[in-house]
Amino acid sequence: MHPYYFGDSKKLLFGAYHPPHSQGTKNTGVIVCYPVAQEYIRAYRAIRQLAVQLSRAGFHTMRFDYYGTGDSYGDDTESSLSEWKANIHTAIDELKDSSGVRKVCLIGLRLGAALAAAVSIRRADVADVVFWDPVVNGGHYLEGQKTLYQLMLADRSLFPVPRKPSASDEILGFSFSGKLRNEISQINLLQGRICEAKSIFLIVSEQRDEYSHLCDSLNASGTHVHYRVVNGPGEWDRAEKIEIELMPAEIIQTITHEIGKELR
Amino acid sequence: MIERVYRFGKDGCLVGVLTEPEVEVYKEGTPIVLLMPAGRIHRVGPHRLNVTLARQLASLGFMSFRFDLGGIGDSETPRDSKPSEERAVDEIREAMNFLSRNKGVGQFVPVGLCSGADDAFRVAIVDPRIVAAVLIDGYAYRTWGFYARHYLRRSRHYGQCLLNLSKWQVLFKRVYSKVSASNHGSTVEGEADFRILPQKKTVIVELKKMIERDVNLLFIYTIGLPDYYNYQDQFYDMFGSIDFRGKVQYQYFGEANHIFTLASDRNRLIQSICAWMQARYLPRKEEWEVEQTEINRTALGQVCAGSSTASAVSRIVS
Repeated sequence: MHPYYFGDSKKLLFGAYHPPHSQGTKNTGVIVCYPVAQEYIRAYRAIRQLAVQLSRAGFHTMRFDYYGTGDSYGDDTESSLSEWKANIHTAIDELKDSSGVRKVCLIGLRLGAALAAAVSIRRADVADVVFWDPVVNGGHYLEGQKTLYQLMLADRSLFPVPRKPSASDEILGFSFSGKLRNEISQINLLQGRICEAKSIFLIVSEQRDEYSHLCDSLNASGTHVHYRVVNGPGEWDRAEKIEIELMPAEIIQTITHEIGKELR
Repeated sequence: MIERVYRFGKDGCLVGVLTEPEVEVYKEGTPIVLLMPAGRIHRVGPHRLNVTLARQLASLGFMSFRFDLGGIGDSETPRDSKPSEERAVDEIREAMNFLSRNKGVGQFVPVGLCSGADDAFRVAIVDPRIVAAVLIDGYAYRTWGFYARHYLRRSRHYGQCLLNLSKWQVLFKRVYSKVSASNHGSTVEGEADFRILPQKKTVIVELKKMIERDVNLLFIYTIGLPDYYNYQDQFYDMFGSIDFRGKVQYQYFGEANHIFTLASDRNRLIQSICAWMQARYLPRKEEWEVEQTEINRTALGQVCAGSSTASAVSRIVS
């Protein structure tokens, strides 16, 4: 694993490149797109483990922190979906330049899945996309995050003294600016053609109507969807899981296996 | 500010990010702040606390290094069978070795929350390169004051019982045994406890040794340890027998939760740590200028006196 900073010198992004370990190196590179805010914290190690497994399966793999998140430059008050999409474009170019691959697969977890979908529409070199527990509807996602925050602040074992968010744009301790909320609320993966990838993998940790609807919607648009329900940790809308690290060994194995047999 | 990521330790198995101030802001001779991981959260810290703190410290002139211990964040999963506490101390020392070699700095200030505070304390005991430490929700021991507040808050559940003398006697005995158990570092029945506390008398001995070594310590507590710490001056009641010699300070964040979820709490914490660092290492501007002038005079004198000291001196005057 090679951790380094890349991109615009004033807006450097933290990235980690995992070169392929096996002899049967794949021609497709993989970019893993993180979720954001508290979900990013929960999933950090899991995404690293996924990248390690993918590199062992022969993929040039890269993961990175969006601008204003993790170790990347910038403050979370500056975050926007448009900036994060631009960051994925930068990461794709970086991976192609450094590894020599011509095509990439984007794997997105939660909001990262919605970002991956949006980027795939704009690029012919994104051959495949994996949606892992995707945020299907941005408005519902924001409401869910706000509800979790209210539950957290109302939990007397955490806050014996009643508290209110310290800023109007604060959710679970992270800044969601008006611009960012507005952009997120417009996400709807059930509307229109949302992805141009050759193949789509929908891998989820629990059965939900919105995932079934997404699968149907993508199939109806003519894209073949590999849909797998792998019961495992996620439980993104449960308050007691907010601070629990994600350890999704079975899901990581499934993603690696599915794209390993499909992509060359 | 400039940030660079490094692999260090045996075979580069550990990962850390060094935040350096702009050259014109950097204060030569100041220690490097080690931003320790908290529990399983990787080096950015809860709600990016370590990133924000690192950049704020850089704006004041301090270098800092945030890093992942083995098995956390980007660091490799350890293959040995060492106890995690022992391994953490080794890995923190690896970080210091790496920074000493690459930055020529030999003094460090660990800042740790929860398990990070425990790790910082343990490394401060054994490594003289630690010249100060900030321990957030670190070791705590229940006191009589703790139980008074604890039972007062629950008094509605006891109600009329507390008017009965024999009930008071039962309560006194229970609190006595609990205070005693707490001092011995054991956990109390009914608590979901994942931290191992050393005996209080052991911590007192180690604190005294650190004070003798001139190690400055800032203890910060939140309401996030309701089973251990619940009032402003509990720290004094726990360790008041020690002669602090002006080396120890403590603060109580009576509204903040354990991981400083609210931005306002985080900002207050960052301000506190920065102010404490400034007071210790960056005298007020006029004092700093006078001191620098004196250092420069001395340094120039030494350079003139003999070339053997030039390399050491050049760090001070550059």
